[in-house]
This record gives sequence, structure tokens and C-alpha cells, in this order.
Amino acid sequence: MVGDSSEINKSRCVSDFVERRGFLSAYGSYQIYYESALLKETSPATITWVGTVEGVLVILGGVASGPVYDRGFVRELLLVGSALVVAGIILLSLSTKFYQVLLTQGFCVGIGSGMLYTPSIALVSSCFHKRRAHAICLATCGTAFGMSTSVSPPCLATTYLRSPAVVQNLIYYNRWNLIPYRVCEASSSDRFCVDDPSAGIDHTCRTCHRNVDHDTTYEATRPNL
Amino acid sequence: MIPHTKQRARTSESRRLFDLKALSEPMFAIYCLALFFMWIAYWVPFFIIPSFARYRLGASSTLSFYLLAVAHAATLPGRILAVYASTRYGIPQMLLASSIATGVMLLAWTAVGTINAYIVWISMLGLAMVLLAVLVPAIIPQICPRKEVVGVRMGMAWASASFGVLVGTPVSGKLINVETGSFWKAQVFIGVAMLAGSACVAFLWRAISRRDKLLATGL
Repeated sequence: MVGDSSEINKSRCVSDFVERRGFLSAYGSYQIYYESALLKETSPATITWVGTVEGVLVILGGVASGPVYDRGFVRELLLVGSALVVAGIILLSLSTKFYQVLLTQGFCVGIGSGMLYTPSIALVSSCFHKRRAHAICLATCGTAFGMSTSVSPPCLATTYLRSPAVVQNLIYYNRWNLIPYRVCEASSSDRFCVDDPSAGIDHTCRTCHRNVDHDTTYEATRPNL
Repeated sequence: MIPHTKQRARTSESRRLFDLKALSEPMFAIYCLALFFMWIAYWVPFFIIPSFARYRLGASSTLSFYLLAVAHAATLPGRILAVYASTRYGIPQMLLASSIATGVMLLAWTAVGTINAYIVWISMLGLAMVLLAVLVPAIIPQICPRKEVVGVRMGMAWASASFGVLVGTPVSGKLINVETGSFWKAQVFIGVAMLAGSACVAFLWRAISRRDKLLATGL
């Protein structure tokens, strides 16, 4: 656990965004895969509900996790959120029916990603004071990166689309996305902020003596994509 | 693999989740309505870009998957542009411009007939659309009476956006017929929803500039 504390936190937050928004932004790829291969007998309009549920839960989860974060449950949010996302994606790779896909990708990943919403944005803000906007901007670039990592495995896998047995690899392969994400998650820690003289350990804003994330909501660069 | 994150200092003051009184403020109510309309349309293109390429334009499955990556790559200049343009021209103005541009682009989707045109269209849509995502939260501090309520208001605004998602994607899913390659109903639906959102933004911009003028004369 060496290195600049802010670098570690930044990498953690980028990886949060990689997973959280990237997975949702890449949903179109999953939609066409479900339509053409995995869930052929289900109507496309029904399949759309998977993405809808995921999208709504990511946004609403972000809304609900704000007050939870304020009350000090960062570790719980990170633990439960990460566990739900990992479990959801791994179970998704085993799913073959519509209700399974809806439960894993829609509900499990959706709720988990929603829980990671506030910590991922508020921790960047609390560890960077001088160049906070730049830091958040860099962290949100994880979204586009996550998009490409989620999409490139499907791109590889489509070359095998003719063989149904290999099709399952499409989702299965996506498990590997989790590895860099988990590594960053585990190596990060709020307590590294202690080394950083510009960041207060108690996350109280030095000017208004309030929680820093009240301040972070002012960030013009708060992402949505 | 347990993240050993330190507990935050607990505060005695807790944030509220909803504040119904805020909706009686016209500016905030219009803003929530604008978000609702815009988010009816927002996620739909990202969900159906590959399907459109595959079933309407007859693209190969490899290319249809890549088109989504093209759309996201096109958002990069938009992200950088958003910061500079909004400091120069003002956030409500840029939000209005980008929502109108996105609405027009979504309606223009009905005219896309070839793969080449589709790729150009996707890049332009990504450029126009990302401005929405960046600018929408930035406008909240301008319409809040006090700094303390920004967090609550932000949550309420996003809640109304999520209702838009709840309406938009299932409805457009119903309007699409993959077998016949008929997408135009969904395209018109999201285009009109986006333009309705931009009409709300126009009202909001007018209200903000009127209030600022009042404040300037009052001082």
C-alpha cells in the first residue's frame, strides 16, 4: 500500500465509474445479443426492461445513497455495493432465461451500482482540493473507458456468434473486467487521506464545517453518462 | 479483498431525502419537468443504436457492436467543450442549445438510411448529447435559494429523471418492430420528448435571467 494517496483514490474512483456507468452505457450491446441469440423467444420490448430497471436503479440508488453516505456508512456502501455488482455479473454469465437476466443485470447490478454512486464521486472530491474539478473530470473518463472494456469482449465474441456454445463466452468473458476493478477497490482506502495535508481526515469542509459532499454537489462536472 | 475504508465522522445533522415544498417553486418544478422529458429520450439511443444498425441497415454484428463505442468516443470533445462553452456563454444557454440540438438530431435519425450516414449521425449525436449530461447538474446551484438544500434538490431532480427513464425506454421498446425494421415511431417519440424538455429549459432560462435582472436592480 504505497504511493500517493490521491493517486490510489483516483484509480479507485475511475474503476468505480468504469463499472458503474460503463456497464449501463454498453447495455445496447447486451440488448442486441439477447435479441439475436440468448433470449430469442422473448420479445425485444420485454428485453428492454432489463436496461430500464438497471438505469432507474442506478439513478435512484445514487439519490438514496447520498444520505446514507452522510451518516457515515461509507464502508458498508462500498462493501455491499461491490458485492452486489460482482455477484450480479457473475450470475449473469450463468443466466439463460429472461427472469434470470432481469434479476441479475437489472436488479442486482442496478442496486449495487447505485450504492457505489455517491462514494465514488464524493471520495474524489474530498481528496482533491486544489484541482477538484480536474480530478472529477479525470475520474469520469472511466465511464468511456468502461464502455470500451465492456464492449470489446462482445466485439471479440461476435466472431464466434455462429457457434451457439461459444456465445455464452460473450457474457462470461466480461468477468475479467472485474479484476482490475476489484484490485483498485481493495487497495484503496479513505485513511490514506491522512497523509495528504490538504484533505481533512474527518471530511468536514474547512470553510463551512459541513460534510464535504454537500460541497461536492456543487461540482459542475458531476457526471451522468 | 475488503476495502479498509475509514468510517466518516458522523454528523448529527442528517440530510433529508425529499422536500415537497421545493416543488412549489416554479423554477425548480420546471427544472424537474425538463429533466423528466429529457430523460425519456436520454438512454434510448444508447439502448437501440446496435439494434438499428443490425435490423434496419443490415450491418454486420461486429460493426453494430462497435457503433456504440463510436458514440461514446464522440462524447470526449463534448465533455471538454462543455466546460469552456458554459463558462463563456452561461450554463442555461448551453443547456438549451444542446437539448435543441439533441432533439433535432433524434428527429433526423428517421432520415438515416446508410451505414456511413449512421456513423456520422452517431458522432454528432454523441457530441450534442454529452453536453446535457455535464450541464444538467451544474444548473442546480443557480436555482437553489440556499447552499444547504443543493443536495436534497439534486436528489429530487434525479428522481424525476429516473421516472423519465421508466417511461421512455419501455415505451420506445414497444414502438420498435425489429422484424420489419420499423424504428421511426420510437425515434419521433424520443425526439419530441427531447424538444418538450428543451421548451421547459427555455422557460427556465427566461426565469433565471429575469430573477438575475431583479437581483441586479435590487442591489
